Formats: sequence, C-alpha cells, structure tokens
Amino acid sequence: MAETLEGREWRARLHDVTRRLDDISPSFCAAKWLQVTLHLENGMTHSCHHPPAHKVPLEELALHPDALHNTEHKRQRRLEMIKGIRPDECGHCWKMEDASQHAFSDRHIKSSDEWAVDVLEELPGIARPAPSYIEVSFGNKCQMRCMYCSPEVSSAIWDEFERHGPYPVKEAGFDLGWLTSEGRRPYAAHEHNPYVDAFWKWFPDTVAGLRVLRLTGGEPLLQESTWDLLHRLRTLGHDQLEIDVNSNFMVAGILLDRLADTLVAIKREGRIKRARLYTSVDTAGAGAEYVRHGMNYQKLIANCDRVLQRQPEIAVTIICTHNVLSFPGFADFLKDLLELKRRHIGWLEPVPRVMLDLTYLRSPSFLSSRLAPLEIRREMRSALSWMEGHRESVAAPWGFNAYEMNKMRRMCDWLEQPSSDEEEAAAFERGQDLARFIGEYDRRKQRDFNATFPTLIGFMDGLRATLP
Amino acid sequence: MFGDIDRLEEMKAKINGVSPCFCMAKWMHVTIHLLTGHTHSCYLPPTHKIPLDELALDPTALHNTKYKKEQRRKMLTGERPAECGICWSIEDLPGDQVSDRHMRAVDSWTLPFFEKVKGMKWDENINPTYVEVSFSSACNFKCSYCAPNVSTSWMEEVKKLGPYPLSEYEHQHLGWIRDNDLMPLDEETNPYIDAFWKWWPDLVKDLMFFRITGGEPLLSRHTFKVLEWIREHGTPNLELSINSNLGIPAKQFDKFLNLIKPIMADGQIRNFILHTSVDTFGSQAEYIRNGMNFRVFEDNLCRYLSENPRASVAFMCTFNNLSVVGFKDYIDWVIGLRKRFNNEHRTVLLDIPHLQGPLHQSARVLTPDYHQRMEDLISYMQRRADQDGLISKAEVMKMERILEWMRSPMPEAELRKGQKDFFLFFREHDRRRGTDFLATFPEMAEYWEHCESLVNHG
Repeated sequence: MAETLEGREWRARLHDVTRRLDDISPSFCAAKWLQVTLHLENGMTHSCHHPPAHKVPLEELALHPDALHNTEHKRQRRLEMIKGIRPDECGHCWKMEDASQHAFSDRHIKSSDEWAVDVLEELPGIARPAPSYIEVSFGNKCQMRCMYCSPEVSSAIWDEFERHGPYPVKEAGFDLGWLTSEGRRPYAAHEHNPYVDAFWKWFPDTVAGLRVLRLTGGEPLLQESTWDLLHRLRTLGHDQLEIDVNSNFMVAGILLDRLADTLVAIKREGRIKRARLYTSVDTAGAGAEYVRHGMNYQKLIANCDRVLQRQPEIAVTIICTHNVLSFPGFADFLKDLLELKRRHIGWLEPVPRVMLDLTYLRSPSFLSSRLAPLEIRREMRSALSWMEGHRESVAAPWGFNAYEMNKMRRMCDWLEQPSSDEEEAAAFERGQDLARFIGEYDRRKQRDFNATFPTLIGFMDGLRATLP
Repeated sequence: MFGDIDRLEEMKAKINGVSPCFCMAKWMHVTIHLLTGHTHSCYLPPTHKIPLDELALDPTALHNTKYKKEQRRKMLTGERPAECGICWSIEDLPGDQVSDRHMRAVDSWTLPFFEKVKGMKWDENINPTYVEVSFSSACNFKCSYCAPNVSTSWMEEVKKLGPYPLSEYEHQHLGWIRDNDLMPLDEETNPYIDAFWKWWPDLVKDLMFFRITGGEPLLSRHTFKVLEWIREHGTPNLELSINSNLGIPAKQFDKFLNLIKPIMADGQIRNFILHTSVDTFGSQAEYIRNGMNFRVFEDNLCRYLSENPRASVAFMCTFNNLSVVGFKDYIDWVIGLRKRFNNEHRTVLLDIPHLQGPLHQSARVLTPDYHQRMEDLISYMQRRADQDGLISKAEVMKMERILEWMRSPMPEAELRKGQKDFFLFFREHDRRRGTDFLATFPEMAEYWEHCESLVNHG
C-alpha cells in the first residue's frame, strides 16, 4: 500500500531528528532531559515509560525539589548518553534499533515530539534541566481493579491484596511484600509524603517551560490534588501548555462535567493551549468489563458522549492496551469507536476529537497478547482490514486516521512476529501464570472467564491442563 | 467514667429498693451550660433554665434548682419524672432491661454515695461528683453540624449572611435560638459564671470528675483560671477533662501546655483527658470542621502527648455522612497514633457516637451503596483488631451498630428531605465559605448528583 502524505512527512521528520541526534551521540535521547513521569505516591520516577522507574532519594530531594526529575541516577544515564554509551535501562530502544538499521525507535519518536525537537542541541549543556513534559500521579486512589493493574497504582487493588493476599503467579509485582521491599509501597494518607511537598515547591518554577502536563493515577478525578493543580493553572498556566488528563470515566458524571468545564475555562483564559482526556478500554462489552473490573462499558461510552457533547473544545483519546483478552470483541470495539468518532466529528478542529491510541501490554508478561495462539493473533488482520475500509476521507472525516492505522499495522506485525528464544523459553511458565491468575481472579472477583470469553475456553483449558 | 458492671444487679436492686424511679445521676451529675444558664443532670433529659433569683440566694442552684429538686422528690416517691422518658421507655420493654438509670448506679462517682443520697431529703442541696461546664461559646471553628449558640464564629456568619435556606425550614435561624432562650451571654458579665466561682471552692472538695466544654474552652479565660487554681491548690482526687479543637493560636496552646505539664508532673490531679473532635481524616475532616487545619491539629496533638506521657486523649468521632469515605484513612491514622503513644498509663481513646442531627448530615440519609462501604470498613477494622489489637472489639461493634442503624427503615419523605437538605446545605456552605465539596469528596459525587436531582426534580 502506498504511503500517505502524512506518513511521508512523518518519516522525513524522523530522519532529520535521527541525524541531529546522531550528531550529538548515537545513544542520545531527549526524553532523558525533558520528560519525566512522577509517581508521587511512592516517590518513583523515570523519563520515558520504557526504563524501569527508580526511587527519588530523599536526601537528594532535601537539597532541591528538582531532584524529582534530576536524580543522580538519571544524571549518570544522561552522561552515558552524551558519551555515546547506551544506558542498560533503555534496552527497549536498542533492541528495536538493532533489529533494523532503518527502524525508528521511541528514542527517535520522542525526540521529534513538539516538546523536544526545537532544543535538542542545547540539552547536553544543561546540568539540571526543567522538563517540558511532566506526567504526574498524586496518589493511587482508584475504585477499579483492572486485571493488569497493580496495587501500587490502585488503592482498590491494594485493599484486595490485603484481604486476599497475592495472586499465585511467579512474576514479580503481585505481592505487597515485594512492592514494599522495592520501595514501591504508596504513602498512606496519614503519612507525610515528602514527594508531594517537593512537587508543589518545584512546580511553580517548572511550569514556564512546560509544554505537556499529564495527570494520571490512580484515578486522578478522585484526587483532591488534581483539582488543586487545575486551580493553580488558572494563574500559573500559559498558552503553550497542553494538558492531558487520564480518567477511567467510571466516576460520577458530574465530576467529568466539572473537569471538562474547568479545562475549557482555563483554556479560554489563555492558561492552556489545549486539553485532552484519556480513558482506557481494551475490547468491547462484557470482555472489557472483565479486564477492567469496575467498568460498565455502556456507561463508559455514555460518559464519552457526555463530555464530548458538553464541551466541544474537549477531545478524548481511547487508550487500548491490547492484551490476551482483547481479541474477542475487538471488532465490536472498533465499530463502537468509529460510531463515537462519527458522532463527535469536530469539523473545524485540526485534530480528531476522538482518537484511538493502540498500544500493547508488556507487563505483566503473562497477560501479553503474544501468549495467545498464532491463529488467534492473526485474527487482528481482519480487524485491520475493516479499519482500512473505514479510513478517514472527505466523505467520512471521522474515519481512522494515519496515526491510528500505523499503530494498528505495527500491532499486527508485532503479533505475528516469530517468537524470540527468550519468549519461547518463558512461554510455558507465563501460560501457567495466566491459568493460575485467571482462576484466582474469577474466585476473588466472582467473575466467570468461560462465560465471558467462550471463544478462548479451548486456549485456557490447554493452559489449565499444564498446571500440576 | 466506666462503672463496676459486676455490681450492676446488686445496685439495680438497691436503687429500686429506694424507688423504681430513683436515679443517682439526678443528685451526683450535672451539666451546666454557664454560657446560657441552662442545666440538666444526665445527658438524656432536656436542659432547663436556672432561675437567677434562686442563684442570687445560693450558687449551688447551678445544680440544685427548685425544678430539679421537684424531679428528685418524684424519684424518691415512686413517680416517674417525665423528662427521664428515655429510661422509662427502655425499662418498659419486655424482659430484664438495663437503662442508663441502672448504669449510673455503678459509676465510680455514684456508687460510694448511694447510702448518703438515699438518706437525704428531696429538697436538700448536694454537691455533685461529676460536673461538666461550658463557660463560653467563643470558638474559632464553624463545624458543619455545630450551631451559632455554641460557636461565636457560626454566630458571626449567621448574623452577617443569615440562616441556611433548606427545603422546608431555615437552618440556624437566630429567631429559633432566641425563642428557645439559647443566646449565649457575655462571658464577662455572666451571673452564672460568677455563681460558679462562688461555689467552686466548696464544690471542688467532693468533685471526682470535672469536664470543661464549650465553645472552645482554651479560648476562655475561665478555663485557665481553673487550671491556675488547681496548680495553686492541687486536687489529687480529680480527673480533669477539657475539650479542645486543637486549632487555637499557638500562644494560647503554649499557655495550656505550660500549665498542664507541671500539674500532671506534680500529681496535682488524678488524671487528665483531652477530648478532641475529629470525624474523619485530612482535608475531609477539615471540611466537616470548618476552621480546622489538620496538620496543625496533628502537630498540637503530638506535642501534647509527647510532652505529657501520662496524659490521655479521647477522640470524639461524631460519625456522620461525610465520615464514611475517608474512614479507613482515619482508622489507619488512629492506629499510627496508638502505636506511637499508647503506654502503661494511657491509651489513645476513640469514641464513635453517631450524629443524630441535623438530619442532612446523618449517615442514615446516605444511599444503600454506602452500606457496602461500611461493611468493608468493618471488615478492615476487624482484621486490624485481630492482627495487632490496635483497634478494639468495642470499636468494631460500635461500627456494626452504626451500620445496623443506617440500614433501619426510614420514612421515604424524611429520607428525601434529608438528602435534599444535604445538597442545599453544602452548596450554600461552599458558596459562603469558599469550600469545594466535590474536590474534597470526589468519591461522593454520585450521591451529590442524586441529592441535587431531588432538589431540581422533586
């Protein structure tokens, strides 16, 4: 299929950024300077979502609140990047780049983003950079218990683990003891959290150079700090700032109304450039509700309609974290999504009001889509074909755009890739973990896998049969 | 204030031997609202006004009013005082019931005095052993369930902005307070306080329990006068309790600590308990108790407990509909304090009475989905009780009772009224006070939406 104009422009831009990055060093990545994710609930941080998060040392924080971003650990990784050394923690990109010399990795993509591309050459000389992209979670308060989520990110899951104990799987992360020993236990409400204090000290100094601020959680709309931050933006914000807010959209509609109204008010005051809401759903109907325990699929769609109708200046991105249970119902999900896009077409908007952001689940590995048999994985090609048939056009401008199509093609390619040796070796154990996990998930949440996913019964029975 | 339960049957028989209507509290207990000149013995009967002409003749009329003596006469002669109806309704139930009248007979402040009281004439004066007073309504807080007659901050607001218009009445209407003779008197010219100080040197001789409430007691000079008197004279048999919101100016709090510390260290009182109200955790507690800064509250509390290793604290958690969603954090916080401050001399106490009024803040007007939240809370508290005993079985039982009460049927019209008034009250609260209900209680947004829809659509 011929490449689109946007595709060619995108590729040309990436080529240019790759050249500029290489001029600095072959392992240089702007995200290490300009992007930060802050899990204030437990003091973990990383730049870019690929490297594992590390703890911000309190002694560094005591000296300066910008240690939230400029930890000694991160400064050492930057030094390696300037010298052309590949930081081990960035292995995801090295793997992609080593697979093909023409491949673009996230290092290239992120460095070409608007919040980075103009200042690449200046970065090596900045010792303690202020980020231009901040993703922050103030706490893990959340009422949902999504299948692939973790106690450190959802208070409801933390409570579940306190009551029922860990899941009987071998993969780390499903055990409160392990999380605590790794320093990932969220601060309890009654404990003084120095990371939140540091953030409020640091934020006013940082906001001037900020281009993207993303609020995540937990469920951000259940965090009082979210409302506090939005309030502060009415004086601290500026017209170059984009704000993104994640929400599970399962909160009361009145909170979504309030969020949309507040964001539009801030925008009209010239304190942000644009606002976009993000919500997650990984397949359609009962399957989606199984994966994201606490979700009501129809309510989620209704709440999307609600905010989009209420505030025409608000856009919504649906994040689909494709996982092993996304296959059944995925076609219906795409149809529902297309309908949503059609209902809320922004005729004058330069970007679609409803977007699909398709990504794939990496952790926990036993829930990865790659665990499904190849014949199931290949079914995604028919979904891709359906999307091809519903591409955006003059007659149907709400159709799937180049970004969404590219993501879907990459997903299909990834799903059909032959297994690596490492993957092959781990497959048996991951399959057993999945079977054990689902058994326990059904028990403690009173769910019924077989009734929800009848087309996956054979696959799951095969895994169950391997259990001792 | 806990009694000798083992002697309950014996004392029940003894008081019933005097008369089936006899109650020791009518003699040995008194609450005196000096700020309005009202009194009652035991919390259950309504208060009555202390006549100033009686007071002019005898300061013990603060307790021994003619009205109260008449009730004592009835008790001694087998006639049930109507004001004590709560006990009579319990005692009239089938089976062997235990009323507060029975319980009061085995309290440490009544039990040794049974023979003395039994032998007294109905119109004789007596000094009580348990006294609770409030000197003043001066208070820097405007707690949502409090009222202008007991908080000067509330009074100031209502004088300036008027009452809260609810669905069927105007809440906190000063006319109602005036009509019920509840307007607080000026602390400096209050004849009831004058009488109290005249009586005090004699009263204190027999006193076993003395509790000062308010207003905010630490904003009243009379509270400090009591402390200074104790520092000078010593009252080694007295258990002293003071309520405080722990949010007073630092200078005032320092003054309190500087007095209580040597009093405790030198054994000038038998025991001291600081009572403080907090109904949930953090910013949600601040919302309920307008004026509170939770961090300042906690700092003051920890300072008091650290500097006075034998002094106790009792949390009064008036469990209301805003307590539920943050209660787990509250329990964790209490457990943290118990780990840090419980010792052989004291326990961090937690009392969880449930709020009965105003109705719109009662946990009973919540929707049934909150019952599940309560079940989860109870289950969590039970686990903590089993795990390390830092939550008591009694506290778990109290929560179970609250849940049972929340589940008990309520007339639909009353429920709707409570829910409508919930929205109307807190919407006005946000408007007047610059608070933000939805930002503070985002978990309650659906309930808020429900109550709002009742207001808008009936």
